Amino acid sequence: MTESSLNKEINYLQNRSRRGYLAATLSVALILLILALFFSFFLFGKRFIREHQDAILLKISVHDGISSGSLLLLEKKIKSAPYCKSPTFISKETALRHFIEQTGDKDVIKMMDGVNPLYASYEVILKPDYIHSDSILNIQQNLVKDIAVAAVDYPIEMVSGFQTNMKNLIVISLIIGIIAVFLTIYLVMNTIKLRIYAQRLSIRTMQLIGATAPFIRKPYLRTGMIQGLIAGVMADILLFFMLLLLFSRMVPVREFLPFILHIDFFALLAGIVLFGGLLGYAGSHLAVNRFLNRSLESLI
Amino acid sequence: METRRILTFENVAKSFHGKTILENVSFNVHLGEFLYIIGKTGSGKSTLLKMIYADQKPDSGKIIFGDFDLGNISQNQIPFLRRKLGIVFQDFQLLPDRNVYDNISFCLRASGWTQESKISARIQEVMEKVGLNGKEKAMPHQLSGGEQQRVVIARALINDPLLLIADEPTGNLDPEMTDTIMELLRKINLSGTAILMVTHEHILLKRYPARALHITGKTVLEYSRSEQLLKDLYD
Repeated sequence: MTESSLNKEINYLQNRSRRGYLAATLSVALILLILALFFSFFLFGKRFIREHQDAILLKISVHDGISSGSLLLLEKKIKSAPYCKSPTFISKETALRHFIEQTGDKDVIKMMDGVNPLYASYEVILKPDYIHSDSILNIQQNLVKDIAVAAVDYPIEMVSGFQTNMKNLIVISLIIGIIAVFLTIYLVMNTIKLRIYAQRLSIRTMQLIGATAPFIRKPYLRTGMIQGLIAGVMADILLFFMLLLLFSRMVPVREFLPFILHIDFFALLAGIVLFGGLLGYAGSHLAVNRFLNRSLESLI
Repeated sequence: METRRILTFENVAKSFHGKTILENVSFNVHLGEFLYIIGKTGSGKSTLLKMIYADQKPDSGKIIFGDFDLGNISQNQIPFLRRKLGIVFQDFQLLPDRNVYDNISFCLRASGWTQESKISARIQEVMEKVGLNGKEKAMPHQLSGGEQQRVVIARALINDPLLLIADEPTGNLDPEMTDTIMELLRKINLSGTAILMVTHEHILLKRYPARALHITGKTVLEYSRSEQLLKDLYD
């Protein structure tokens, strides 16, 4: 065989091996992408619900003619309360202005003989942990005892809706998440096992010529881990462009960018890469172990 | 003067799925000896070899190779045993995705060699010995059967073994290549390596006489000269 035909043959074999490696890496990347897609929808869903929870306002109306000292005490009490995220004071005048803006009825004062019928109030955005019917009821009962407080109102249906949505999201995500993680582990392990299965006889030969198990495993573990990391990066790139494509059809870029440029999303991207590397390493370890110390008959 | 004993079989028995393959097998191999093993297909020749490289354990009896008691060898010790043996397979068993150089260097690296210059020098030495200089870059499938077998022999010799086990090394070769491989094995033997060779080709026992074991009736008959064995077989 001439030098050039030998090189040609070597190049062909190397290309074939590279193509096989790439195909296996792409398979792992696609499996990781499914997991990444699920977790990003979970993250976005959770953040979407959390952002909309700010619409749940606890309205604490105060009696007319209350002394400024009592009002100050009430404000201090609200601000220091553990459930309070941010309180806003709405004066009687502001309340009236809002009312007119919302209803368009400018004659309301005339009809009430020049008296503003609306109460001054505090609108409190609640911390997420307190958005439960029971917690809000407790807060309400506690507040109405204060002599300055005329009434405490909150959107009951929105609170129960928020609770149900969060519960559903967590339960469904947990179920799908567990299935997705197990499916990913199973599929990635199988892809790696198939890659190593093709080399089972070589593994036996290596053992027969005096190589120890850790020595045999080492290159497979390195290759598996690198393959997993590369697949993770590929899955991240695919995920980014898929989300870009998906969201850009629904909302303007500037609206969904905050969702993507967020620490949670970056943590997810890093997690997918690390998970890929870990699966590649563990999968290779298990697959090589499976073919070590086996008789020739059981390998054929 | 008695030469050093490197392998001892003492009343060894082995069975598979309740069927006895070998029983009361006893023989010795000395340093620098050439020993044939012959027998019918399924007589237990390969099993006997597998017990030497600890791919299988004897059911009873004792097998001692150097400092290793092969009946009680632990899994961790097996690689160290195999580094003291050279194994030549009928079907070559080269690593198909590596070239000749990498196939041979694998053994050295597995034994703890790390210095590339020393690895390269040692490989050149054995490549010269088996007459394969210039084939270092070739992939196994680009070599003829005879060349592949010589690579396997080079790989088996790389750790300078006390004993070279050859399981029908000429089984897949044409008569001309068979002679080349046999000459090579004789040359290796003359340099001090003991060789234990399983073969079906009785002509080799006549052409290259040596001590011989005949596995028959589950046990081993020992002949100090292979010609005597042939005489008993064919007369």
